[in-house]
Amino acid sequence: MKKRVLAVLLTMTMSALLLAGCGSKGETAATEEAKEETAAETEPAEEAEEEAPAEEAMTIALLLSGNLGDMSFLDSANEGTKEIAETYGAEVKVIEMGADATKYETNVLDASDAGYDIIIGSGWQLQEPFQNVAQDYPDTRYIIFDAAVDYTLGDYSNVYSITYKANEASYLAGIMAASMSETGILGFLGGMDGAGINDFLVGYIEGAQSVNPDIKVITGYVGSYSDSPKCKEMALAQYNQGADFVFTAAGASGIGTLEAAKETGKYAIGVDSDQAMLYADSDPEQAELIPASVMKNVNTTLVRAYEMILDGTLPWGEEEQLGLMDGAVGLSDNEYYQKLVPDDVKTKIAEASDKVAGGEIEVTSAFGLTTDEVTEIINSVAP
Amino acid sequence: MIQQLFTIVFTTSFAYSILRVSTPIILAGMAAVVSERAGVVNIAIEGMMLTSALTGVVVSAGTRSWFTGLLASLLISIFMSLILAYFILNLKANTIMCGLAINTIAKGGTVFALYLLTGNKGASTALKSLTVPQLDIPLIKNIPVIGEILSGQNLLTYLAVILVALLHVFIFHTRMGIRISAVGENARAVESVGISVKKTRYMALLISGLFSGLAGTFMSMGYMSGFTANMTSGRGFIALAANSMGQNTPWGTLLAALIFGAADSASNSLQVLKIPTQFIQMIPYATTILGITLYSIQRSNKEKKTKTKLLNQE
Repeated sequence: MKKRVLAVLLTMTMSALLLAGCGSKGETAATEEAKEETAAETEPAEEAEEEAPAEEAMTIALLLSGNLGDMSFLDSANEGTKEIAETYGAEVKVIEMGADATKYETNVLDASDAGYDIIIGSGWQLQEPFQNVAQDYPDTRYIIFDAAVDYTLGDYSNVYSITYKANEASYLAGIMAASMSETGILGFLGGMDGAGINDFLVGYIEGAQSVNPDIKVITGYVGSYSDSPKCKEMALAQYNQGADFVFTAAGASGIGTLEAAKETGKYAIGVDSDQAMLYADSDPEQAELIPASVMKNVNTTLVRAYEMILDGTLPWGEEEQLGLMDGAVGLSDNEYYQKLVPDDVKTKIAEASDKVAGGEIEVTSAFGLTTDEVTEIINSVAP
Repeated sequence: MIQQLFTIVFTTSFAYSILRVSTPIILAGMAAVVSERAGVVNIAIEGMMLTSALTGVVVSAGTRSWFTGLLASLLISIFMSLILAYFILNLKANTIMCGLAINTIAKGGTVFALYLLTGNKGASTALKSLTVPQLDIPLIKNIPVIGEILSGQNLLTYLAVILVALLHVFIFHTRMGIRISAVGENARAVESVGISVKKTRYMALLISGLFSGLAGTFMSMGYMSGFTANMTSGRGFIALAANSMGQNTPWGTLLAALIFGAADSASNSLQVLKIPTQFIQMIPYATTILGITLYSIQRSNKEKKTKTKLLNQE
């Protein structure tokens, strides 16, 4: 009898654990935390509102297609809305929707019903939900970043899309790598073979060629955004084949490249966020090998969008491609960049940055290129 | 291009990488061998690997000792395999469902734990974790080509090969090992001679957990020097394939794991050639299918032979 009771108890605990485990990967706890955070933030925001009643405070829902803590563009978006809340007293609610794509549209609907003034969504995962929902709520305004709704599908005059010219920042990374390379061989590792990733690649190759027309670039694709050991192997292979810079646009897999750089004592270029700073405290030796990261400054573009809303100048119903000129993308500038990159290269990068921003140089984008054209570019620089 | 291919494949660093890439599959493969021999399809190897990968990183960062990290990760993996055993053997739950449950818990749980500990859901870069050291083998180290390939590997890689030999002895030459195989072949017959099937399977799963733990530790403390979310990426399942290719024997599975490792290394190194990436990414999987096909052809031939033999005897 005792045994049976024990068994039942154990089963119950285990199944509870099970439910907790597969149900939401701990998102709920995280979301609650995030809620508390935002709640804490909104308090001072409300105070600010009282102080300046002239300005009407807007309510914003930020829908994230993943979880905070990605050290990348979701975190950056969160920073952006935080800044909006602090500076302009808007009321912000962050909703982490996790990895389950089936929940996205329901969340967009809920947020629309809840009557937020502005609903911000992250990435291509929210493109379709926005397309399906936005027309039914003409009074709500929608902002999507790192993706655009298809404006030919209907009247999306209440949706504003922000896309990033990652190719422009990668162009600068290419200049840096080609200028500092001793072997004349560079490496590139992508997560998957697709336009979003190839946009980085095309810009990188073009930048490198602008410095050294004979530059060679080894290109590889990990085939996964989470297989960091595989990525490390591939990066090691590229370093072994003579590359002395490897630029990786492969999400969390990219950590593998950074480790491979440390093992071989060669350089890696980070992506999306300032990756040298990930290691600044725990492993400075590793950080010393990441002279720069190609960044998408989601926060800046969201703040910019909010300011334009206040001015009434935001082009609703359109997609805006933001690049170096708007500070939407760029190379990270930190102590390691200052220390590792020679001054003449820094000047070269700054000049190129101005030219790209000024429209003097136009960097090719992988969006709009066919697969064959991209393959041709890759093969033209393959060693 | 052919010349380029040869210059890539015939380098010591390529051969060196095969051993490194194969290590987790060898260790996880041994975990599969033991459990499969006892008649339990252990798909939870993947989840146990992932959990011990994280545990090793966290404990080694906390205690500043890689050995404690290794020990802790082995303990957690054994603990998980005992939970699995309790559900399967005592509560008579479905083996595959329990394995799936453990994998799901591990996948989400590791990220959750990582977030609680570091505030990051992607990688453990904020933790100063340690790695299991690499060993230079005296004498062999000085032999030109072979030294560069065999020496300087991770301690766990050497341990993996030694453990394959030990497991072979254990399975075929000890009482417990033979009992495990017997339980897998015909549990009722074993029961009828008064040996506890449950106890034997517990033992097999415990050993399976130990090997999974080693495989997981190698992922985050040898292969990589830190944890990233879902870093095992299906290697636990590849190990099951290696086991079936290796016909449930330690040496056979070792060979299969090395073939997988070689195919994987090749796909990593061949990116430099002007071959479509999709084709290169296909290599490890195509090898798997080819290997399993060859194995089943060989087996059906053998069966045919025994059948004809039996018929002739009559």
